[in-house]
Amino acid sequence: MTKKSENQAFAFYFDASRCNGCKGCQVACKDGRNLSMERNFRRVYEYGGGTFNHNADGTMEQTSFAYYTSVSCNHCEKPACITACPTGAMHKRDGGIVTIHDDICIGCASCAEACPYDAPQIDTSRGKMTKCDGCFERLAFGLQPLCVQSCSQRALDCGTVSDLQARYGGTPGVGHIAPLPAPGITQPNLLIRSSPCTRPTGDTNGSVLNPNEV
Amino acid sequence: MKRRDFLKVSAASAAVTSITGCSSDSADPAEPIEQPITDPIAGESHAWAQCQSNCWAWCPLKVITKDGKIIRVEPHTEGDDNFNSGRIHNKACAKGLMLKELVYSPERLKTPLKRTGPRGSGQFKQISWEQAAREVAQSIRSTIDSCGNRALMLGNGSGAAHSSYPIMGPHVRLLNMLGGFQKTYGYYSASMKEQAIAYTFGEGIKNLAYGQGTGSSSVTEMKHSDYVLSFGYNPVEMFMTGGGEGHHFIQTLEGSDLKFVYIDPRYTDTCLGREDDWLGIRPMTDGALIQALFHEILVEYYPEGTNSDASLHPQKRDFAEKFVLGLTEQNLAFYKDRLKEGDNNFEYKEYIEPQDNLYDYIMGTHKGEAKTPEWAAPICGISADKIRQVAQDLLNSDAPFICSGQGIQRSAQGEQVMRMIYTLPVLLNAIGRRGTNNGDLPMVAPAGPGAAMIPMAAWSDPTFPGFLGGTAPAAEIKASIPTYKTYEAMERGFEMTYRSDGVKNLGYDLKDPGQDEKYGTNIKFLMTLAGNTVNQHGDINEVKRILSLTPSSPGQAEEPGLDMHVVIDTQMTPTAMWADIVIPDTTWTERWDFIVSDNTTVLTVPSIEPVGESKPAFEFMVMLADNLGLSGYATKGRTQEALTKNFLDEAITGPLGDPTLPSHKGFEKTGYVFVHAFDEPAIGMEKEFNGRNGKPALTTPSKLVETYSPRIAWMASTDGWNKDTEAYGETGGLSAIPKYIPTWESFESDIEDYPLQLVNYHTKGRAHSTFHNCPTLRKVYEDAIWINPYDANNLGIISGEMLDVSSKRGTIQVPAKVTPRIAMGVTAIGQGAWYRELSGKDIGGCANTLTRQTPSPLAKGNPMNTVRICITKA
Repeated sequence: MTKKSENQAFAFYFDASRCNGCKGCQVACKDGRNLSMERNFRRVYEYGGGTFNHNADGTMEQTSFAYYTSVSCNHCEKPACITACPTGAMHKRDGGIVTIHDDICIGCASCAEACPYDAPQIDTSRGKMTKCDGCFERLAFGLQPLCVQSCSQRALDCGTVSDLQARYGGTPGVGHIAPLPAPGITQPNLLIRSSPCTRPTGDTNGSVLNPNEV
Repeated sequence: MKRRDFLKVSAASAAVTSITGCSSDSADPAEPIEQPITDPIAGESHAWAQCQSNCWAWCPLKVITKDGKIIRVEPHTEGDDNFNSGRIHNKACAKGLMLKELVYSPERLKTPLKRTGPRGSGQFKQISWEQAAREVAQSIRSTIDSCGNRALMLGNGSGAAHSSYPIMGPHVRLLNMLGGFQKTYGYYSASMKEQAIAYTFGEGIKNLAYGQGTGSSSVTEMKHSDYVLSFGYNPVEMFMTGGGEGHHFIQTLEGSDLKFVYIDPRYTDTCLGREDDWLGIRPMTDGALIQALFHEILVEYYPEGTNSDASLHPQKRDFAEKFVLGLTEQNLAFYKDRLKEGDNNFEYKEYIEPQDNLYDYIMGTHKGEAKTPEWAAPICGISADKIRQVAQDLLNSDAPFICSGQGIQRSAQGEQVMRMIYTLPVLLNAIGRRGTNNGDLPMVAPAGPGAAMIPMAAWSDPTFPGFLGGTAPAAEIKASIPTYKTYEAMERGFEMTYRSDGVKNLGYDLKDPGQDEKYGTNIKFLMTLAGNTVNQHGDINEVKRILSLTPSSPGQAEEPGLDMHVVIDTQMTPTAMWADIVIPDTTWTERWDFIVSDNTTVLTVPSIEPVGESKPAFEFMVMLADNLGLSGYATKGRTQEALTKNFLDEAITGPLGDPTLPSHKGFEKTGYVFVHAFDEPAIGMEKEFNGRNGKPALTTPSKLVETYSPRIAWMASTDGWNKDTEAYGETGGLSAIPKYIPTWESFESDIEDYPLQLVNYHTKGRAHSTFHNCPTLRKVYEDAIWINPYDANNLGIISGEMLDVSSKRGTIQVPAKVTPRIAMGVTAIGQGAWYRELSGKDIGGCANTLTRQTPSPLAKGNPMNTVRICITKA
């Protein structure tokens, strides 16, 4: 467990209570990084459930819940993709961003199989793996990542863990929500603020409602 | 997501950590070097544009170009971003960010076109601009000569901000200078409530620019409320913008612990945990629920009847009695008795029936049942207990904020339910004071001066309400056909009257239909700018039938059939496919422009050269004016650039101008964004309910809230309007007080072949039909029919399955989305998908293949949310 004030690892922050599922983040990245239609470095998952009963008197008992989760790559502390990569192409930069040495990637997709967040995705036109790289070039020039910049409801942010904690509180990997996997697997550098209807990881009262959109 | 289900993976986590590939022992220790970091934005330029689509947030768009091509669009992130200070980033949503896909789409129109095959065949040939202008001008001239100006119509369009609406674009000025044109009334957005609010609160409440009531409070006024009741008011989906209503709503509720109850057949993104309760109501049954609320309220106001002073809420009762016309028999009889010659409403005196008052109707005193929660529950599907809870919350809250979206009124009972929704806050003394609202759509408090609209409006039509004269002659055609009869008017417009079809400003006699003035001609010429009504009007098959009618020759006023259909757009939409002449407009980023929105004023300059031969629509109007010999037309310049600069100059220096707006000088390369700091929360209708001497000061004929409308009493009588009894029963759907009256294809309709109700909601993935042909948006906002898991289970349907969805009008083909976010017995599809026919089915999935062209009873509006369907596997 890293000390709050010193953790300089790159992390994302996501506020589920503000996210309106606008997909600005998903789309700004697809457009700005010229991704082919099947590749989505950032994805917005719609998770929800409900109960429904007809009464004999013609009334209905209905409950429903739903929320969105925006996730890209969590630049994890224990990246499963790096462990899986046979060539060393997948690696962690100084500062914590996980990215791919494009020239030595052989496109075997072991990283994609290993990652529980669907972050690495194959570019079939070149036979190379690609994924969210935290827009590290933009960061180096003082610009925000495309997703953070385009978030319409100020629900996304990024920075060092210690900066994000100072701004929002919370701890990476604590209070993660369905449909994300349990954070213990890869120790994602992702801080999440929940909403009144978010469910914890492992929840079985709902399902991903928009599989075709991600 | 083609890979894994996260829930399964978290259970199989052990398997993941054991995948090592062959990296650990055999990898070469030589370290690959990091590539040097390059400037990610080297060589890029930017220019501001504005999303001009009909969501009305009109967000700034930062259009990034490189080597003369648009490479992406970024949102506005300049300046402060502090909601509490009122100055924020006005970030465009994903739709605006995909402007690039519109600019470079395969459907992009690049040259003028003329139809070569039958109308609607999509067979066109390229023609020159000169030929296009000549032929359109000739058609305008010959239509005026043969049938008069009444035969000219400008179609509804909203895809180019102010310019496209047939109220103030350059096409309006052109036709006004030629003697006028048919300016229909009622927008597709808000027809029913436009009329409902005028009848209830008076014509003075109608919004100047848009026709929807602006008697509403601001969204942020909710922060002063302790209870918000929303009838489908859904700002989080309707305005995904980072700058307008959706953002205001999220921020306001974030800082508040008010109770929020949301009533809608869909569990929309306005909920997502914000709500205290979601009432998944059957479409169009809200009127039954509200009548039950009236019942609970009136029982507490009059526990011993209306002849007794006893009341559980004496102050609220007094307020209601003071302001509501028609509350009780005494109230209505008193009003009727005092009416004398010279008073407003006197002409309707004989039609006023004091026994037809709200109290007695709700209590079932003279006929019908008492409208208790037990009566309403089996109709609307919400339990009597929940209905009672809502009534109690309303009565016990200090400041209940009642609001509605526009989907609820876009139904065959739309005017009825809106008249009830406007009555409810008055009944509760929850209007015109802190933390309350008049029941209408809340708004963002006006911040910009509206200055850009003023020069343009006055330049086009100086009778445009509220503005100070201009340089065009006044619009001469006063007779106004309901917009939802646009196509019908091509077939039988000549015989339409006020009594038969709701055509306004035609003479009529209160008792003798034989004396009613007829409209006199069919519509012969239709020109539409940035509009797609072939796709967006009801019953596409009926639209196609009418557009396919061919008169024996042009200029035959009483023969069915349109002579000339001109469509000005950037894309080959379904409407453009049915044009005779197609004119290629520039997109929002290929021209100069200047538009004020709630949140920002943007000076747009072109980011790229116009694609193909496209020209700004104004410049085509100049060509038409030249052809028509209108030398006085282009008084503010002959190019879009000159026009924009002149309007901006006037917006700064003119009589209603704002001198803090920057000039265009110095911004020719990039344009600019001028942020409006939004105002303090604003209370709607304060002065109407807190007038001098405490007297009611509505702009209704009686000055009261006309829950009982004497004029509608006449319309509903046998002397009054023609009744469509097949669609609406004996009453024709009209009643002096608002009533829940089931209509065609309502929940009660006995049509077993079409067992499910359908709502055609506004999807996040389009602004109506704009943005439909953006592939990225189609990917991230799936078009599918929402089905409740309970119903899907009974029908044996799973998500992703292709379905045939049919109404009495036609069949569409769409995939299923089984979701808990829709009430049982109800389905939903997002409207605006482009119609595409294959073997008699619409594989594009357009909602209007299913809707009906029968207008609503009072407003003659478009009841898109009244549809019954059946589903089979495709």
